Amino acid sequence: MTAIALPRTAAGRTGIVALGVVLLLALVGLLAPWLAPHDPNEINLMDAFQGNSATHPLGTDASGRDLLSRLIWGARSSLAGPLLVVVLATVLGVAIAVASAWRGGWLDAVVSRCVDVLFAFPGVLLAILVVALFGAGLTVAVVALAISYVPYIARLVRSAALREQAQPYITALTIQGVGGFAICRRHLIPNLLPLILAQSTLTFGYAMVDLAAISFLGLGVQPPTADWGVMVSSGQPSILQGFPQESLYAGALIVVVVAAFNLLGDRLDEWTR
Amino acid sequence: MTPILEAQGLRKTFGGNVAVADVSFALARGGSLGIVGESGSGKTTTARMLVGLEVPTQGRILFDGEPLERARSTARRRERARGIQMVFQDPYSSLDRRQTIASCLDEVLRVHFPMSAEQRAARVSELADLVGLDDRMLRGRPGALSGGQRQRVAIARALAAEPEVLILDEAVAALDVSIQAQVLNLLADIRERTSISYILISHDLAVVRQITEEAVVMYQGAVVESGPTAKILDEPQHEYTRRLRASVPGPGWVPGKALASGGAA
Amino acid sequence: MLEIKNLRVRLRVEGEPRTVIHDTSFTIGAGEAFGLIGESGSGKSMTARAVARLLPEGAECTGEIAFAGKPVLALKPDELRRYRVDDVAMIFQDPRASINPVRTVGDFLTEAARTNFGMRRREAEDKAVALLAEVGIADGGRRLKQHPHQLSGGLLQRVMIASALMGDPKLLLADEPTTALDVTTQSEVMGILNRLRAEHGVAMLFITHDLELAGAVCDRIGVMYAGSIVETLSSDALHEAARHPYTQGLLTSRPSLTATTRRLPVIPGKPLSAFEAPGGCAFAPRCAHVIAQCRESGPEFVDGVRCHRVGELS
Repeated sequence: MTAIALPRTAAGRTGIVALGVVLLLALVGLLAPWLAPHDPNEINLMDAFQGNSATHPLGTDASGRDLLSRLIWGARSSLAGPLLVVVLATVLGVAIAVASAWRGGWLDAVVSRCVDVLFAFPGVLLAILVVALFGAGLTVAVVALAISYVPYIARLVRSAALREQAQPYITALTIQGVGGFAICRRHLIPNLLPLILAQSTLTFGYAMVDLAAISFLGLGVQPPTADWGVMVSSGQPSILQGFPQESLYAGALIVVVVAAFNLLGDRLDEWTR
Repeated sequence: MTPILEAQGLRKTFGGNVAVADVSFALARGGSLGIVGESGSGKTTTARMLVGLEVPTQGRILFDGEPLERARSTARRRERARGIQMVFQDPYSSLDRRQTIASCLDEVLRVHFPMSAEQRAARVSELADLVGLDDRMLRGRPGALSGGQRQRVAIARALAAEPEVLILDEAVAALDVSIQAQVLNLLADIRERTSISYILISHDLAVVRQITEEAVVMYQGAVVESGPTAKILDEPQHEYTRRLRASVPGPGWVPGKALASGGAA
Repeated sequence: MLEIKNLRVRLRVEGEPRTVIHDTSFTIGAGEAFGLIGESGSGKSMTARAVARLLPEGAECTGEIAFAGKPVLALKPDELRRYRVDDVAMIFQDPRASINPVRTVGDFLTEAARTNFGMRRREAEDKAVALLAEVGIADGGRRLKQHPHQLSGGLLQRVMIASALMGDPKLLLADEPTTALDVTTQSEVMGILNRLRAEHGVAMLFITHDLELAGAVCDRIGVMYAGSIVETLSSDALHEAARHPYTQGLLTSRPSLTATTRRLPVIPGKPLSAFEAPGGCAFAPRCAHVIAQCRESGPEFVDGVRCHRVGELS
């Protein structure tokens, strides 16, 4: 692994803070069954729109469900969804990019054209189209979004791969008679890893916003499952009734996580250089 | 005796540009041949054709009397790798910075020889000994090594496949003077101990003189002069060779005196 | 004209102070060419940068650098600007990296003259064309309209020389100006640099790793090792009068153009930077003549050489 120097600068420390925030929220999601004070889906219409209290620290929503518990449980799909998108998009994007950069010729030409075409569609729009075709749900939304991100990752990694494979050490391996697949797997991709990692981290932020948007539109995670995107959406009517808490808290968490990932992506790019 | 490596009328064009117009030479088995030239002379393209990175537009390359075909399959490239190896100019970018030196050498052995892990490890230390690297360096990554040490690794890596011909593409040009001398001595030692042949690609006439017996001088893609290195340097015949010779600083040298034409660059 | 006394430079590398120049002193007379030679890490480029006050952020610089009596290290920002505009000019190894690729050669050559001396465009261009002619570029008017990528490395380095002379400097700092060039081009460019320097009466600090080149173009030479000058000598006497074991080693370890030896006499080990060097004489670990005293105490720079054993050896 590339040595990651410990950050000494103020900018570096914000990176550490960002990493801490992300890890903390992931932990909260994992430990939801133990941390959440209530069942997130327990409806109690008598308790609707409660303010902060000892039993409901953050109050309740229109159906009287405990907001804190829903936010805690919501961390699961809200974080796992984007994670799946990123993993899928990165694996596909890197494979396509490296193959097309390495082989060149017609394969590269075809891949480049396909990427250009996909670029013409905004990611969310493409995902909405796919969801409309295959039905709403987290899985479909994740796959659709992943595909729509592939071109961004592929284009970046392809140009980096082209630069890297022009390095004499790759030429030396070729002259040594090492096979192309082995060179890509053992040398090319590992050397691109810092860049790929930084890009994935940034992509996570986008994926989070896009998935939330899709859930907001009712095409992703389905109610009553607790999810921050869904909560922003389902809390909407309550805002008009003077109870903005649900949308506000969920929206704020989305903003915090996205900001943390963006910071982290920038810092990772620097640390691993 | 058949030359180990022979180039016959090599020509390489990229689109409309002629990189190499016409190059022929023969490298005797166990011999050492210098290809001398400046940027744009076609010497690097020639080297790339010899190791199969470029396919000649015209002409052919004979290895041990047999014409080298374009290596399409990995098996053919491996076969070629056993014949001809190369050391690059830049010791910083010619090694994978993420790979330890031992694993770098081991990888070549694994590709070429059916050896056990212990056999390979033994051979790795042998190679390290040959080029003067110690165990600590073997366990480290390129980042921990100096330019001269990295170039030793590159030489060991090239020798790992036990090639008959080693192409040294400006292999000492980027090194400090005191390190350059060490590597030149190492190259001389290796040639004494093995039956390997060298092709040295260089712009540095003194280096060419030190480790080659024969040389060809390239200018704008073509060979303008060839023969024994000592003779070329002591009694240069071609006008370009004379200019090149006169451009090298030394006692009594006056810069710009070699300028024959008023210096159109 | 330039007097450097006990210069010491420390850089901050990842927060740690690192000595890169350790006690360096030398002088350059008006119109004189002084060659500073050394291997990588010797501190030769840093010395030139210190003279131009172009050291990286966080560098600590002690000792004295006096230019025509002015203390360079104590110059205030506006004095420093005048010093850089009027007194010194610098040329670098890679001309392509020190010229803006999207501006024309003409913009590059005349910008400083127009902003610093208030020259009119026409006037500045005339001067540029005249200087281009002096560096052997005849069709200067056409070249002014060209962009850097249309010029070869050799031509571009000549443009850099012309640009350095635009401000009529008194001292030229040349940091490996021909290292990236072909041998024949190097000869041309050095010829031009040498002639112009003499004609314009400009002194030069010439940084190079090539002892022979420095010997051919400079009046005097300083040999740097691990951040210190170990020897200064007249270039006429380079081959005969080299007294320091390092200078001698550098001279003999270069292969010769006229003869072949089976093995080159080598200096063992690798060149060290000042911060890596041990106590005592920095060259001791690589020196063939090392004695106990060398490891114990660093020799003083006496009579042009820094070596305990110089009396016995030369």
